Amino acid sequence: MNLSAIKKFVNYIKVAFKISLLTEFTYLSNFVVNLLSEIMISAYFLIFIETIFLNFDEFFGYNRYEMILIWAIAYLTSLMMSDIMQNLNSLPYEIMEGTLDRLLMKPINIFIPLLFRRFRLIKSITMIVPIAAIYLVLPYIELHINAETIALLVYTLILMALFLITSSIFIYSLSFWFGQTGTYYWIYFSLSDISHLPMNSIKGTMGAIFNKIYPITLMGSVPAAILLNRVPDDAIFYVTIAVIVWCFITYFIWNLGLRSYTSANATGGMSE
Amino acid sequence: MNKYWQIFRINIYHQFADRAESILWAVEGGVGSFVGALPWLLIGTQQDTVGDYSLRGVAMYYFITYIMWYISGGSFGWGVSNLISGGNLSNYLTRPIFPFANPIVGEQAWKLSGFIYSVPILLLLIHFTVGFDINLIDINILPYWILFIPATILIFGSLEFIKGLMTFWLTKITGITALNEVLNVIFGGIIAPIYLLPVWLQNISTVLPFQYIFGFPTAVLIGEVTKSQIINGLVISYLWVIVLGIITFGVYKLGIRKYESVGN
Repeated sequence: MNLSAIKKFVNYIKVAFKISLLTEFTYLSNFVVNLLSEIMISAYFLIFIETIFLNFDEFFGYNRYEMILIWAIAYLTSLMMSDIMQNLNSLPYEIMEGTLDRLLMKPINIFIPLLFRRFRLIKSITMIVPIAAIYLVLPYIELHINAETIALLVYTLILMALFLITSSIFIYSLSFWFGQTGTYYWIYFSLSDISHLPMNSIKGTMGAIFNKIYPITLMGSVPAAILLNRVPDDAIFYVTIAVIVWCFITYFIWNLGLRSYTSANATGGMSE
Repeated sequence: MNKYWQIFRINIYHQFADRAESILWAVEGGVGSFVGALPWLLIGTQQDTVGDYSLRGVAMYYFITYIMWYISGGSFGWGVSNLISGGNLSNYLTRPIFPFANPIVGEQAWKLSGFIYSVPILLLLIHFTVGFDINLIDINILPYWILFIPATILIFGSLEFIKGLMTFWLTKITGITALNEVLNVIFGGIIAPIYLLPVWLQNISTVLPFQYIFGFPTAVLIGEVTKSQIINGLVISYLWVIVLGIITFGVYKLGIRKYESVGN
């Protein structure tokens, strides 16, 4: 990556950010109501935790405050990734409409506009809620924080981002052949609730799928387990392998799809 | 009636032409209900009950809520909103048909195709989790549950329609849509079965219309509600039908008057 590419990337981000802010504040009352709804959404899982602990003292060895920690981390990572995931959701529509050309022809890597075309200030503001929740439960839980833990945490979050982006691009790339796959965003959204549950609660085939093959638990359960010193020894190894495999498969499928992409204006020279 | 049937028929053809997307939406609904039931299914590996309630019944609650979406639900608010904001409502006001027939009836076609795709997904979910057990549903209560269905459809439909009609006054309704969904999730028994929620939340939910769409009727069907509570629930839900019907009618008339006086 050379200096010119970095400059283009920074300039693109600056413009995208400015346009996003202007768009959001154009409809101010809508912005306020949306913000209120986002904050109320955080009540959703807190009420669920309350419902569980009305009837049980612990959930698979995790107490109420540790469950809140898992939820807060999962919610925080979800908010951090929400702009990228929602922006990527436009990919299948661009493929189906044949408008991917606009992005392919630009003198900038196609993934920059795909990932960063829009920022949603509401999501950034809402991060205050899970951060406040983590701060409030800190006195009641025993965290294991040292240099190794922090390094592992950062590494896990990078793996999480790579997994979410590559798995989404893989699914959306199927639109090159099989039609609209944009609904995957809402399937991912539903599945991300699994990361609110402790790693050790999901066992057997489900455990293998959600901890190793489609490691959605990277969003909340795994980082929380690292902080609480409860992550199984081989968990990070298997997750790393899974993410590497996702990267390779996505790279292959994406390039295959681009080769077969004909766009809305493709006539194969027959009309000439 | 024939006009509405034709709209329904055309939209059914569209749905089956785009069946991949319809199937994906049905899968999404199934995944959502499975993930909702998952914590209770996991607890169910260690014990059979939560309080006085069967954990298999709790999981079944989520699966029934999933299928209830295709009976009582359907997001036609967006279609109503797009018709108003796109200026196309003018074309429909002069036609001999209800101006918003297309989005409302069209959504019913989507629901029918979604229901067809979701039934096998539901059967698979039940088979791999709680297992087929007729005792999970209280057959004696079925007539009462059927009595709830028209109310659920009308309450949900009124809220959707009001949401879409707000476009007469607001340029964007994404905020109101999000707020409606959040209220539905929190007070409608979507997070967890109504009877398991904290008492303070149950008390608030009793006086709001949201729980009478999915949560309460589902709790009735799996037999977790007493007869007197069922009668109370029926009365309150039909009272809400009347209240929301009046509000919807008023908002509709005011909105159309504003639209016709101001123009597109």
